[in-house]
Amino acid sequence: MADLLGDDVFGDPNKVNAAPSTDTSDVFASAVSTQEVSTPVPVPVPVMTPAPAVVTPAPAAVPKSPPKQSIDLFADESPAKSAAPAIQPSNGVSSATSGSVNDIKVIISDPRKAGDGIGAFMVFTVKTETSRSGWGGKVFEVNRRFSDFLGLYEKLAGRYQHKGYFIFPAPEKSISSFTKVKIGNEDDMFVQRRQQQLQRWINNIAKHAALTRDIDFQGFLTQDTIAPATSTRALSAAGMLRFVGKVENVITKQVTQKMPETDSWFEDRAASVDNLQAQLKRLSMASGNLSVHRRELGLSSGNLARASNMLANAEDKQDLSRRLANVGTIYENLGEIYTDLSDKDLYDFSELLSDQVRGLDGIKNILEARQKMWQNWQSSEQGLMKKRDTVTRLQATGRTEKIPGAELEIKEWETKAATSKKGFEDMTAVAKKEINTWETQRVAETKMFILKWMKHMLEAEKKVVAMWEKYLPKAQNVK
Amino acid sequence: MLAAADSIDDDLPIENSESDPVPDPVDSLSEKVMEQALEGKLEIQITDAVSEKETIKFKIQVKSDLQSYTESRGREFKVERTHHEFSWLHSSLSENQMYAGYLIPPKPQKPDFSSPSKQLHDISEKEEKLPKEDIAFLKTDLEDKYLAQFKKAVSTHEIFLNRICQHKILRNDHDLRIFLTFDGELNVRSKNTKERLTGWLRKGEMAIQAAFNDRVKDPDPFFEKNRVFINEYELRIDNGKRKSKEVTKEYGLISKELMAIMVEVKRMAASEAKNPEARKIALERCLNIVCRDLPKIQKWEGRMGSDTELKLVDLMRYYVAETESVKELLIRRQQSLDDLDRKNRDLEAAKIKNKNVQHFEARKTAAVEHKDKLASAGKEELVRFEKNREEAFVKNLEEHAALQLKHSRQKVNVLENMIKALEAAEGEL
Repeated sequence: MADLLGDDVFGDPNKVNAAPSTDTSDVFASAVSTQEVSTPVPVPVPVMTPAPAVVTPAPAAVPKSPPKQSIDLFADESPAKSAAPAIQPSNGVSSATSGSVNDIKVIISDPRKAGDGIGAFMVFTVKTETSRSGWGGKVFEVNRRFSDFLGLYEKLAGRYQHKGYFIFPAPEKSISSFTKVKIGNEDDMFVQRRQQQLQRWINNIAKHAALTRDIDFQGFLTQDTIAPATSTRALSAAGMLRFVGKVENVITKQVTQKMPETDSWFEDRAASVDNLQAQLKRLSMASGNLSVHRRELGLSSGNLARASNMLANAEDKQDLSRRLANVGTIYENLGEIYTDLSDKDLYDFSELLSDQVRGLDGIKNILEARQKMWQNWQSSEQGLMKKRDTVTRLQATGRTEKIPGAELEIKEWETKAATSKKGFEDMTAVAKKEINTWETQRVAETKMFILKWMKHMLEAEKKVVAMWEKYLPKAQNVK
Repeated sequence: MLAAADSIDDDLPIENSESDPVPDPVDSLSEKVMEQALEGKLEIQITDAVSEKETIKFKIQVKSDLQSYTESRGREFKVERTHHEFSWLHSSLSENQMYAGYLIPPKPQKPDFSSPSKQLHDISEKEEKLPKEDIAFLKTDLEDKYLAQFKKAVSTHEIFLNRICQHKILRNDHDLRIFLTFDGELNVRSKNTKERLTGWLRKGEMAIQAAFNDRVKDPDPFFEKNRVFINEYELRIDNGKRKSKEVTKEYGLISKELMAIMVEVKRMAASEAKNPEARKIALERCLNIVCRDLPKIQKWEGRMGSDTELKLVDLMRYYVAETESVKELLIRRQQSLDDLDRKNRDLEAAKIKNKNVQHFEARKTAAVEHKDKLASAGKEELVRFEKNREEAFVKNLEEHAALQLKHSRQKVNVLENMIKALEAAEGEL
């Protein structure tokens, strides 16, 4: 039960300070919290950690009263938690998870290199604006490195993956980024891309009502210092393995048994997710290449502009020299338009597609976690069966003195089985909602960015037309 | 005189030929150089070309009332020539001392169809993997490219030949007559040793060129001005050619990526049609609109590139070759001065020794004659070169701008309609 307390109590700091109605943008979260308040708290809160200090002033505003902010409640390796997944009214769960919030805005800026040689890493400034009360301020500014982001993701995944939440996977640490930062090859494009990736990621997480109530999420955005992420140092593949291991810890490891899918809805999802992912990957790649070639076109237009100006300087026919200089001018302008469009191809199209590809990894994680929850339930059912067999055997052999003890164990296992069954069912319900929500968002986003892509192209092409219109009369032969 | 935009049928302004031989005052020349002063008719047209394994064969239609032509082949006849044979004609003219004062029209580029035919092969291999209409599209696209290259090869060879036939002096060349009248293959393949020799000569020429670059001033201000000009121009026109080529290459690659995106969007439309969430917001309809219109954008994007190639790259490429011819002419001019210098020294030496003076006197006179003849023909040619250069650039730059504007407007048009359609799809919900 401890974990239930942890989740719920931590759930919404708003409720302590403000009436739910005051924060209209936070309808879902408030609704949840109201309900959660009514849940009886059976276990007294063990430790009270002081509220974390924030960069911005108003520490007085940090409530001392919401006492349940104790980190140890979240210890996700706690066996109690793994044995007994959250038991919550299922309607409560669904409203908590499908709720999306819009009251936290994060802007990432000023990427800079820190450290030297092999110890070098990138640091970003993370600025947060929020209307959420209880965070002790409206504006926060902290410095975070890339591995901090990964660390946050791992914490969230470890804590909530088994609940069926959609936790947007963090951008990958890649070998190329490793060498880029360590070797000190300052690649502006790369850094800018990473900055944008992280910004999109953290804002994606910040939309998930339940995740925003996590203490480490709040800490990540508001605390001056956070514990360094230790498990994210290595490359992403190893990180993923570690994460899978964590999920397995949460859910008691037993005989792995392939889950026969009885829910056709999930069957469909599992069947289509790989296909969709492959498709989006290819589209993302093609649009990435488009951006690369537009950038090259921008560069080579600039080069042609310079070549043309040089030719104009050499030309002794004055009229022709002027015409060649005009060629230089138009290609210089075209170069700028194409470079600008290249950025838009990248950030408003290709990168959003690759986010979707990564988002589908998040969906896969949900599906995988659901299988593990099922296995967990199956193993407790098996345990219960074994105990029942034991009682039968005891009765048959007449060793009645051991029966009461065994029956007590049966009781325990019955609870366990019921709990894990409930856990699986609740998780399944949450997962369905989460996947649906994501899918609705994905298609809407796809439609939106395709339209936007076209609009960017149109905008750029209109500029191109205007350029040629201005240039043509000068190129016309007046003789 | 450059390949006109879309078709070889366009009237190509051919570089005009000789004016009356007005030897010196350069300024008065420019008005007269464009006048035709040709006796008799010698017209050629490349009517067709056949692609063969290694090269292509050009079918040349010759019309002439010149006696040397009519007596062997009649007034109108056809002849087939390969690129190699064109090449041979070019080197034969270039190496002929009689033409030292003339600009030899640059040799047409060797036609290269390996890339489109290779791509066509690649597509055939992918045939099973891609939807039929995409294959058809890619094939038409490549066939267009192949055709364009084919036309270009025909037109560059035709321009080369035309320039010779319109040239007052070169049109009377003996080898040209053989080239145009000999019925059968010219035996130009067995020139391996000759090629090696020319290769060696080239190297010698390079050394001369290097000397040419740092050479002391030409005593004639007209040639001096041209020498200084061409040295700078040579590098810059070549740079312009390379840089404009890169631009067209990127247009081509963008156009290719747009196709790749189209193929993916099409696949996506097919699978989103089965997705209820996507159907709710008519995503698959939007994707289909994109599929319908993206090829049009791709087409105009491609045209922006291919017309830049035709109007800008080919112009520069042509002037790289033309500059080379000019430079060769100027080198021959320098050689004639050097030769005269030598002959003068020989004469001085002979006078001192008082031996064979008459012989050396005659040699000197011949050298003076050669130098003067070359100088007067060369001046005419250089004035014409400048005039033609200006005309070609002005014409091509204007056409280039007009075409780019046209294609860009088409793109705006397609995009506006597409956006309208996409927004309408939203409205219908």
